[in-house]
Amino acid sequence: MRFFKKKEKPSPFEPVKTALLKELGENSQPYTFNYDLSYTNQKVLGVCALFEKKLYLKEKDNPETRVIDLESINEVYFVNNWGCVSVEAKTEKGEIEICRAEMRLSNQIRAAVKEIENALKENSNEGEKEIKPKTKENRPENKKGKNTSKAKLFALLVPYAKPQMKLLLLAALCLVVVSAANLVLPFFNKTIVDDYLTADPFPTDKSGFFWLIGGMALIGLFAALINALRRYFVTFASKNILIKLREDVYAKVQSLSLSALNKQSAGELIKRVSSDTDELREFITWLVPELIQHSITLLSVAVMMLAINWRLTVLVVIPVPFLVVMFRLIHRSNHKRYRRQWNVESDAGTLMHDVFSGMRVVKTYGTEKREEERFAVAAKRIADISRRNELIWNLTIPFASFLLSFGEYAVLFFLGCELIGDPSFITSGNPNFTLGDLTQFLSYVALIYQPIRWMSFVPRRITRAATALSKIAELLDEESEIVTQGRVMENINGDIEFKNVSFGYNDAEYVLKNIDLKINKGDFIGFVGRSGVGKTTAANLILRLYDINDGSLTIDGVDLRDIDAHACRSQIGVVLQETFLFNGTIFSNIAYAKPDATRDEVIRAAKLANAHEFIMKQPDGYNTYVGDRGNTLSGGEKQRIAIARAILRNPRILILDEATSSLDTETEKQIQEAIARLSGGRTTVAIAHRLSTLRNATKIVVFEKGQIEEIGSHDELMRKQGRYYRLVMAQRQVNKM
Amino acid sequence: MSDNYLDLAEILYLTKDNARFYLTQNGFPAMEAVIPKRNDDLELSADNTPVKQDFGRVYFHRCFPFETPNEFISVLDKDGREYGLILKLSEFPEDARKIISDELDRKYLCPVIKKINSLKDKLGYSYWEVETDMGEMTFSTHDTYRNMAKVGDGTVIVTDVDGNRYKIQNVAELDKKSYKKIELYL
Repeated sequence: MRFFKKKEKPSPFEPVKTALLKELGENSQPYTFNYDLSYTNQKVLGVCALFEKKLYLKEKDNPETRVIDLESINEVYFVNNWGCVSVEAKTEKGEIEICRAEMRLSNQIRAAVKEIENALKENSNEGEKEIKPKTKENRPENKKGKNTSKAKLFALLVPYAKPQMKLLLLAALCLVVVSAANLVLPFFNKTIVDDYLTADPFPTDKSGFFWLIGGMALIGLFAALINALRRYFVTFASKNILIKLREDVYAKVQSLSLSALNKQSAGELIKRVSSDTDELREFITWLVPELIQHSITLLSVAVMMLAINWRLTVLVVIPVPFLVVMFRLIHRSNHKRYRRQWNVESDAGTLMHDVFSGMRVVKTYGTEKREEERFAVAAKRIADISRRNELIWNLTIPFASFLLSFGEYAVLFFLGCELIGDPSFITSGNPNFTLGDLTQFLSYVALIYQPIRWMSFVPRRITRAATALSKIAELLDEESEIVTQGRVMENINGDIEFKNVSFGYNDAEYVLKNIDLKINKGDFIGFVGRSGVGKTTAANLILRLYDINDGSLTIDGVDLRDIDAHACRSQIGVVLQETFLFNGTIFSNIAYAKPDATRDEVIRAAKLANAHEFIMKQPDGYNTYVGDRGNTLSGGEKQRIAIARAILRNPRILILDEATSSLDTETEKQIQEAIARLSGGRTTVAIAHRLSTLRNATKIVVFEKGQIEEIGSHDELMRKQGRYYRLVMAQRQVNKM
Repeated sequence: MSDNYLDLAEILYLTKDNARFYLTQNGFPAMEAVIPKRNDDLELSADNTPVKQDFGRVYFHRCFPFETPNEFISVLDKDGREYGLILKLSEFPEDARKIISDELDRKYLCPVIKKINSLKDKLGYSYWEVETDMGEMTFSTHDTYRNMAKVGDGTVIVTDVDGNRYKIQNVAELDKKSYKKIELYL
């Protein structure tokens, strides 16, 4: 809830902790954690210590220390409320609340619950201390509020700029040349005015005049050429930088673990890869060089002006701070307004995306009119906001430009007064001031305002780049999933063992609790149970899409975390609940599992999956193009393609996550039989709701509330008359109809 | 025969007549109610006669936490299975109302923002300094526009990076300076 201040304050919990430790004895070094809410959600500063099988809870401004004996506690658990968390325990005298805290402390509280749990375990089986299973290392505190300085952030870009250094330096050189050319031009002005236009008498040799004009044109042409060259260099370099940046970010996204990816929507990731990287490219290739150029111009022009006349220079510089402040003010208000417009526009975009992709629903419910109106409202909102923004922008900009030329008027006024012989209160202090000097000076004034105006934009552009950069840095910081580490298991046998496995997608709630399950090579295992009891999760754990929180999961006796996940996954075939087809042909979709598969192999796989027949009904056969998300195929057809894909890999372990649920019973049976034939010696894990398909399973595992309720063959479980029996009976009743 | 599909689904409403709330010795809300016996989810129930049962500790969950915080409150068991719904909290006698609303206050922590002292944007995060009914607070939000849920009638729920929630009862009633600070995100 609090973010880093420049100077970190000592934790307000510290004095409470010290007081508590004092009570417990000088040399006690208990495990402690903080909590910050009372039973009725009032703010408190509390520290809890776990010491000698007792919990000591001390709060600030409360002389009493609550003591809870671990002996009296049977179970302790973490409760996730709405905006706050709490720790509750089951005792002989019913449930009690130990403490509660705001969300900000939720991670610590969660860790504390685990710690107390461990202490409870030690209590129950004293003496024979269990070897602690490998648990996930405690994650560092939330990353938010990381106080990365801008400079540090931008250092990230150096490796990208470096390979293009030559090009960028060349571009910078071009910039210097152009600036120099700009600096020289006013000299020509001066000479033309002084030596020819106002010369009295007019010099007889007019060739010098033409030379001067010609020289100016030539320098202009030269500057244009150099500028073009610079743009060429920059474009080239920026293209290279962009490609590298995008590649890196894209590769990073691919390497992230699923749990990290779940945190971000696909749209957000796309934005990272496309527009944020573009923002950075612009920063490296345009902003930085231009900043250099404008600084050079600013400095050199200032020097020139000072050399001509320092008093006038001061006069010109006086309005500069005002201008800078004014521009920043205009920008700040504009920036806010434009961001609001951007937000509203993106809302309308979401709305459109929603309606267009859900067109079928809209049509079947006949709500076209309502959607039209909804969009009209959003469109009107955009129109209103953007009209106001445009108006304000267009009203302020001309005046801002006018103000910019103010310095020019001032110089013109004072110098003019002097020239026409009506010296005002400020004099140039230089009696020999000519009209040519005036022209030259005015050119410089125009030159110096340009970088000033440009620079007033810079802070905002730097912030924008920094924002994009911080988002990318955040992504690059995210820990990659380690897939190519550990033992490479060439030929997996297919023995899988869950030992006391617990897992939750977030640490608050465990989806699976203390799962013990041994799957032998060649087994055909069925996972059954209501939806949401953890069947799919258990299957995902075998694939190591997520790391378990507690216990151990082994394949062939080796802990999954010690196996090269990539090599391991390549020997597991999966058909997921939601089949996903890539944009491409049926052939390429099946062959996705094995890019070097021959046509013969693909057809065999399709035949096994009962897909061949329907594929042959398509005019283009295996070359039938499956559009986005496979919308041209029915659910059952997509599933069969997915099954073919999994079979093609010739996996050692096959996981079918309701892979046949969209098929009719007949087809489902055929496929199951085919798989049974194939699965001789291979392990198959099938998750199914239609229990009839699991008849031949070697073992059926019944899940309930994240735990295993029953294990056994169909016959055994039927005899036992437990949950499985009731499930089967319920289905039979339905099937009787 | 029923005229409407929806008639087929029944909501069991808990009222002051069929439900009594009390506190357990450790201060948790508990319920005693006269409702039909619950069956295991796999069997169809045959018997619908209400029986007086003491359920012990119960849990509450708002169906519409933003819109009607004191109506449509689900009463659940430990595993999240519903005993019934409370349609209107106001219909209950004083003591039951207090037990339920106290527990709701304990479950739903959502300070109400009265004034915004400072709101700064930095690198995609917004840093807030606010005055709430629970005192001064500071927090930060990410992707602020998306984390400010507009829940009708000018009420805004802000969710910070940790998952804490803050409520602005009515944006129009904020003082001008505070309103100006959040206008961008509305």
